[in-house]
Amino acid sequence: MDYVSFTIHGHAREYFPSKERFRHKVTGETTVRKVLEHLGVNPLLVMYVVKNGKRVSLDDPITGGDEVVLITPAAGG
Amino acid sequence: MRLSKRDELCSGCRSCILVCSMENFLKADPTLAALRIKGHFPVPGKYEVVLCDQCGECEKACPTGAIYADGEAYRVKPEECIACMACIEACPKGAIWFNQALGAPVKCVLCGECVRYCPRQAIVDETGEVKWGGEQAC
Amino acid sequence: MLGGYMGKGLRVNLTSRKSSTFDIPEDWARRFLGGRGFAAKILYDQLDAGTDPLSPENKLVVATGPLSGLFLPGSGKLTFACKSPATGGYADANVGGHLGPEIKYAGYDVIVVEGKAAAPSVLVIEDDRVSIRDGSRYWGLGAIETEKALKDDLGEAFQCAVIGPAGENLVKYACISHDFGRQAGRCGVGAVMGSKNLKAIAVSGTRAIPLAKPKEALEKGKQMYLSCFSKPGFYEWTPYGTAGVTDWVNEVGSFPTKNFYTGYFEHHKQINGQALKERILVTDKGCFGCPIPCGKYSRTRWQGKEVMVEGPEYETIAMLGGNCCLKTIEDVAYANYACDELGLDTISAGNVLAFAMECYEKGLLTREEVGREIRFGDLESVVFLLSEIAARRGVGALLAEGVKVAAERIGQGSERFAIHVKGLEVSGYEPRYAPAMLLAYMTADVGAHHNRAWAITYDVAVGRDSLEGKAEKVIELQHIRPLFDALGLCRLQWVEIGFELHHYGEIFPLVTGIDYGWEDLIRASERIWNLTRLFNIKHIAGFGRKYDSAPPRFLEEPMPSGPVEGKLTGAKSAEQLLDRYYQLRGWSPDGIPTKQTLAELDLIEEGAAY
Repeated sequence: MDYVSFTIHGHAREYFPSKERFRHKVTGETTVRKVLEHLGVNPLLVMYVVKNGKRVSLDDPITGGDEVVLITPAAGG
Repeated sequence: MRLSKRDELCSGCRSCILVCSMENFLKADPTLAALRIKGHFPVPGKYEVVLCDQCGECEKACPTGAIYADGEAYRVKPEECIACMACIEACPKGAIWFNQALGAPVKCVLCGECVRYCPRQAIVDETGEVKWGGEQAC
Repeated sequence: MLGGYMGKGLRVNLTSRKSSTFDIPEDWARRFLGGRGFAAKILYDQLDAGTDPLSPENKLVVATGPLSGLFLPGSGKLTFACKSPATGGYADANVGGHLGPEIKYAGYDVIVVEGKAAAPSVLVIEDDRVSIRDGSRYWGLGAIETEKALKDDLGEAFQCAVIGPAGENLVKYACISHDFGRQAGRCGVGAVMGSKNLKAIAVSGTRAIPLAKPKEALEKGKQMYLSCFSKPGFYEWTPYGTAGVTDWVNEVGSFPTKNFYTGYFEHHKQINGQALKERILVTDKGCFGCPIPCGKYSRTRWQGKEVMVEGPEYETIAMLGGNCCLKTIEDVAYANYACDELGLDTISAGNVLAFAMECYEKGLLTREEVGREIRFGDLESVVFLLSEIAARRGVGALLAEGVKVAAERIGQGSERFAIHVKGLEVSGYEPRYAPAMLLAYMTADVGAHHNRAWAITYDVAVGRDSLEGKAEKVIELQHIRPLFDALGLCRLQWVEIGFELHHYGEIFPLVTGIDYGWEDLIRASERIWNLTRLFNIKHIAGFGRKYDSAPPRFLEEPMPSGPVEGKLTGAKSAEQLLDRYYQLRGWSPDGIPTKQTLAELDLIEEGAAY
């Protein structure tokens, strides 16, 4: 398995090239930040990263088979 | 079905109350709901779900037989109610309410919709028969 | 008859002590939807130009929406509107909780409060029974204390809107409070309530809200809840609520810090969502129908006094935390409590306090004038100033007027760091290097408020140096976000967890029977936006482009520190954005809607005077 599956949430997902869900091919280890940079998305559009159900940072390692949820920023009304 | 509540999870949103009145009467009217949420604020700052556990005390208290057992739930026959309020007084949970427009009490009939639509899973079916809506949705 | 609407308005005149009802015209529903739309229509038609906002001639409109009180996510929002004591223009402030639904259950879409009571009063509404009662025993009490006392006196079933001492004393940014910690915060609506000698409104209702297609509306409501449950944000966002965005706003260098001196607060990790959750949280506290309660009910302690407070929400963290430099979540929560009890808007209050502290640092306010030393980061200074302001005591009398008036009186260049637009203090986003957010603040109808268009993610997404598409985005958001205030809904399901907008277009006709889809709702929202513009033109002499301007600090001072150090959008770009914005809106270069625009928006009758 060398795909990471991504789900993007929050209203700012409209700024991602693929909308709600996409799969990204990886070789070995990478990070969410690297994937976003590769896609041309500003990593600052991500507020929380959830990998396989746990909160992690943009720079934690991800590998094939991981399920990653990206929560975009949102605030007080 | 056996309903139980987890007050500590309740956020007081009253979605349960609206789905109850809509499901059973097709009306957006909290006075027709068969449960209530009490807020205890400003101190200690918590919510309490007031819920029928089908103990049957209302049925025992009713002098006209307007409340009867129907499977696991006790139901009300409005046409036989004489508005004596005996059931209201007898309920140990305070979970049956007299409704002026109906001329009869409203009580829980175990439709289970509060379990499905409580966003917090603060109301659960202990038998597991009815599940939280989010489990199907995911 | 339409569904979703109760079809009736309640008019209460506190001078004559008489109340009456009026029918809601179907034309209002079709053109202005409800909520802020109804409020704008009533105020525009019924207030004379030149009305003093704090006189008996001003009206306080309490407006529900056609979707409030129903089984669908976030159906608990209510609008309070009037002529603004802060800006002299249109004002509205919305509040969650349970009052909006209760007003509908009592049988009304709107309540219009007019005149002025001879003595402190409480308006009590139980379905058809309307009474104006003596409120003197509540006068002077804090907002939380008042609500508790009212519930004890009238019964748990009553939902209450109350003011604190700040509203009684006509502080220009006094709020209206409800449900022990939710506020219609902005624009000084609490001062208008206070000017009418009205301490509280208490409502209890027992009616059903009619529905055009009840069965279909129930099924659609269920589908909407299930869709919310399926969003990952449902699990990840809810535990922290709005406070969860604190770190992110710092990372992008837009966190108001030290009177908007800079956009990064080095202690932000001590006042963020995690600190709130781990250190002070007691329970989540949801508004009516809300699947993702942002309300965090907390406990904190200061100088031996333990207090309970709902919050702090992000805006409070930004304005009392970053902007006043309070360094711990406990301090921010205590300042939040002080504002809530006094009945002060935490956004404007945090802005005013920071302004006063900067004046003090610069020697423009002296120890003698203030009565003690005040400094950033010091909770004692914050609590002291808040109580002086709420009582209009000492320097509080000056600061109670808001930063615009205070700066005019202090002079000596303090206007340069009085952070407001149109007289309303800026809320929790530092926009000097976020052009769309800057334009959003400049053009918001009530003054500088983020709730009209939260555009900063767009700046981050497409580039903060670029102006392209920014005016378009701001306009798009200015139609979507206030639409929720017209429908009587909370927008956070959409903003926070990505709940799709098309659902609202789908449920609206099932509830009301009006054959509108999403695009029609947006069109109505644009109409409302132009109507509030007309209100400002009618009520503010010489209103136009110069009122859509940002404070000098945002236009002239490059960011001094943090992730976007040295950056600035600048005045020239701001003017370009404004040109584009007016052009897209069909307004003149001075920001006045053209006759043609008004005709296209079906505002011919309203626009006739101009």
